[in-house]
Amino acid sequence: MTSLAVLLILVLVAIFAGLIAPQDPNRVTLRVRLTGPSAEHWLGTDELGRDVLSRLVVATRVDLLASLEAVGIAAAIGVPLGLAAGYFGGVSDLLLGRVIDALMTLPPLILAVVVVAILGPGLRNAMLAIAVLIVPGLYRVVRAATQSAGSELYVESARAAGCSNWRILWRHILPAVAPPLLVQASFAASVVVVAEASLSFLGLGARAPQATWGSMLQDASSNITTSGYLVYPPTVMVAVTILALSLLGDGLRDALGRRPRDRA
Amino acid sequence: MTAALSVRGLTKVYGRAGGPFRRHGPALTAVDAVDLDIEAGRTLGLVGESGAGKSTLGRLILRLIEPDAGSISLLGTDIAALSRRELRRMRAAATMIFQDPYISLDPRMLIKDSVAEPLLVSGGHTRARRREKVSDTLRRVGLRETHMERFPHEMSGGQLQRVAIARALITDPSFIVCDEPVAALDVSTRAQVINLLNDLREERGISYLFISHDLRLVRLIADEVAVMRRGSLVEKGEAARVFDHPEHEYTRELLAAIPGRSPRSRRFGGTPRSPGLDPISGVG
Amino acid sequence: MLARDLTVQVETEHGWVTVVDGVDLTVRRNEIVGLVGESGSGKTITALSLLRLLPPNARVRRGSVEVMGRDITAMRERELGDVRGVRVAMIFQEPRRCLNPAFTVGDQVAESVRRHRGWSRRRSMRRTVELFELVEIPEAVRRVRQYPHEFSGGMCQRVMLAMALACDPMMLIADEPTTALDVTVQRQVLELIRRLQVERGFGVLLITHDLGVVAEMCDRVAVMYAGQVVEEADADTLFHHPGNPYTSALLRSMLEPVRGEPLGFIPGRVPPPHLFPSTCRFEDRCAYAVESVCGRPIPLRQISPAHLIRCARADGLDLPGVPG
Repeated sequence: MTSLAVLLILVLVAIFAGLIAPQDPNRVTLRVRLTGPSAEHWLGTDELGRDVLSRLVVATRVDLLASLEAVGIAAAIGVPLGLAAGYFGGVSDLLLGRVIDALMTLPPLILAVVVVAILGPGLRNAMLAIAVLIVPGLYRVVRAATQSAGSELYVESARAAGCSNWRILWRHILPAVAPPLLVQASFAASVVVVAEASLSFLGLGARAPQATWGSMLQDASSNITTSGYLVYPPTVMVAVTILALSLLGDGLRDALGRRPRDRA
Repeated sequence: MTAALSVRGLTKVYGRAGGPFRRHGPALTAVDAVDLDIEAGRTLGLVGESGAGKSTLGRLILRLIEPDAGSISLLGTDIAALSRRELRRMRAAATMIFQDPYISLDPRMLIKDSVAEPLLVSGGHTRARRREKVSDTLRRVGLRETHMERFPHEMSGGQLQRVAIARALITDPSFIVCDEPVAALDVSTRAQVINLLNDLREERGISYLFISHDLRLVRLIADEVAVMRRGSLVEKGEAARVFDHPEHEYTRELLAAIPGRSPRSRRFGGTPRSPGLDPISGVG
Repeated sequence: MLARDLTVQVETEHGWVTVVDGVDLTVRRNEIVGLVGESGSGKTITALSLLRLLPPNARVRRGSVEVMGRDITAMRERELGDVRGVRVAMIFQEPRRCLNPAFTVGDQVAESVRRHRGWSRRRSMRRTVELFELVEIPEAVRRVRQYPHEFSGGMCQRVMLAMALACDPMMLIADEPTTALDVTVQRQVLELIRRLQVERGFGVLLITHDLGVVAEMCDRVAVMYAGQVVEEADADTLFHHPGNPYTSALLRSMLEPVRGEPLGFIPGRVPPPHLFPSTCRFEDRCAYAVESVCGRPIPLRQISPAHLIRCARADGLDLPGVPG
């Protein structure tokens, strides 16, 4: 699986960013502003003379962590709500469903901007905003999977065996929900990467001098007429990451989609 | 004799308007004012065709479904009055075996975990004691130690139904609802499961509510028979009496429909050893 | 209809595996032949290959199927269309799944009449109403305009029978036609099949696992085990004097048992097709197996004009059947 290999490399880069980055990503060296690629600076320098490669490496760490954070927050909200709504149903399910529907009718980026406007800019707040955006997707997947698992005979059998609702959810339903959840989460992660780039590009995400792919794009855009090539490194990283995450989602769906059930 | 089960006026209605969010539709009375008694150690066969409400009745009795009316006294306890926690404790004493073992066991759980689960949730056993009981119970239902480490999809239907029986048996219950326990199995393995259920009853004095559409099986295992049709019991009584002298028209119809018993098939002429058969004389 | 040495393979993870092995089967007009076996015995695959309806992962390896003297294994798709439905019709276990939920049942039967006879729409629909009356669907005129979901399982099977009769077939293959039905409905459908067979004189191949159904319906019976026919005889002989231990064991495990006595059963299970042994395939589970004589391939032998047995010890055994 190529996508897994790509993601593994990205994760390794993120973990060992400090060792890999050839130079301090935030060291300003004004005499080498906007140089093209050279032996010293493989990907050149930006308008403040910072090493682009080093910034890219560090940005990988920041972006992956941020994605993890956003998906984690969203899962922490969406999974329990989805489990509860799918398993217990009833009025709470109905009300939750309406709230989620309402959330989904709002234009995502505008919603993110509003959240950031309320909480103030910064990567953490941007991730919080994005988490709110991907909650509905996770919620719906978890709710649907819970509903279908909850109607399985083995769940009734567990109830007849005296299992508490808590144990049924934890031991019988969550394992059945996990595969589609993983698929959805990997798609969500790719959404987060784009959203981070967009928000940071608009100056609503990471603040200077923090390097993220979005903030690097923003820096590059101000010099696009003179040093257009600076746009490419972060763009390629965003594209590759999204592609890898999407492919991973597809692969997971295929691999986990159907369990062989030997009925012969 | 004490009663294992005593049911009065048990009723379940589906689709009745209930609450502001429910859609209104025609109500379906799945179980209609059913009275039922099973004495300790006896087996009641509940027969009827699909849609008669047999499974619903079985689930109501264990309060897996909430009844709309009526009382249920199970092993001397009024189970309608139990709290959720007390009800869960009750599950160790009164449990259920389901129709299709392929789907009644969690496909992601090892056999040993599935079998141990009821014991685990009822509490009060050490890990070593649980393990010992699991292997004892599996051995009792005719499975080997090596089956413990398998997943359901690695086993045959007959083996899986034994696992399901072991799972029901491990808490030493006094009452088990068997919902079409062999309907999903191959004919040649059916017999093994039925024999096992029969042996266990004699060994441990368990009472069964044995739900089946197959009258041939019910004849084999039941002391008493109740015939259900469209939510109501149309006839009940001692098994031999119901099979030999059915009183209700519907019971007669059901008995006559058993394949291999019609006048044309004289091949199954009066088997003198089986008093339950209405004698159709002649040799094919 | 005549099948000779029919051998079918299915592609599995173990490669091409023989699931039906050298089956000979004859069904004449005016008779009902039962094909009995447990799941995994190959009876359904046999039936499908008789009409060349096998799924893409299965192929006929050897043997021939003749319908009215014509070999269908060599036929082209076009000619096959002439055989299927016209000469030989088939009904299945779950009739509802064979009907298109988007069209009325009348349209679907009339369509089949129209295709085979080239009649007008109006005439086909009139014929459909007649057919519905023939299969005892009450209020036929009204019910032809209804959709499959308005029909019960038994009624759906009647519709399938009407469709099968639309072209006056010579033969009907019925694959577990009543397994999914309630007993009282099963009885009615079986009686209907029986009546139609007598009236119209077609042959029926009735595939089932229920020996009770066989006892009631069939003139001759072939018992399949692990892809082979292990015994074939007229029904009376088979039930009262089975010659193969498997048949005998099946009879004891399936028929109305006696309370208080343990139900007869067969230990173990049917081996999966890729593990079919080259010896007697029932040897492992057989109470009468003797290694010296059973440990080799066993041919199907004729012990009397109408009784074929596949058992090495057929001569020496006196097996329990149905007392009577």
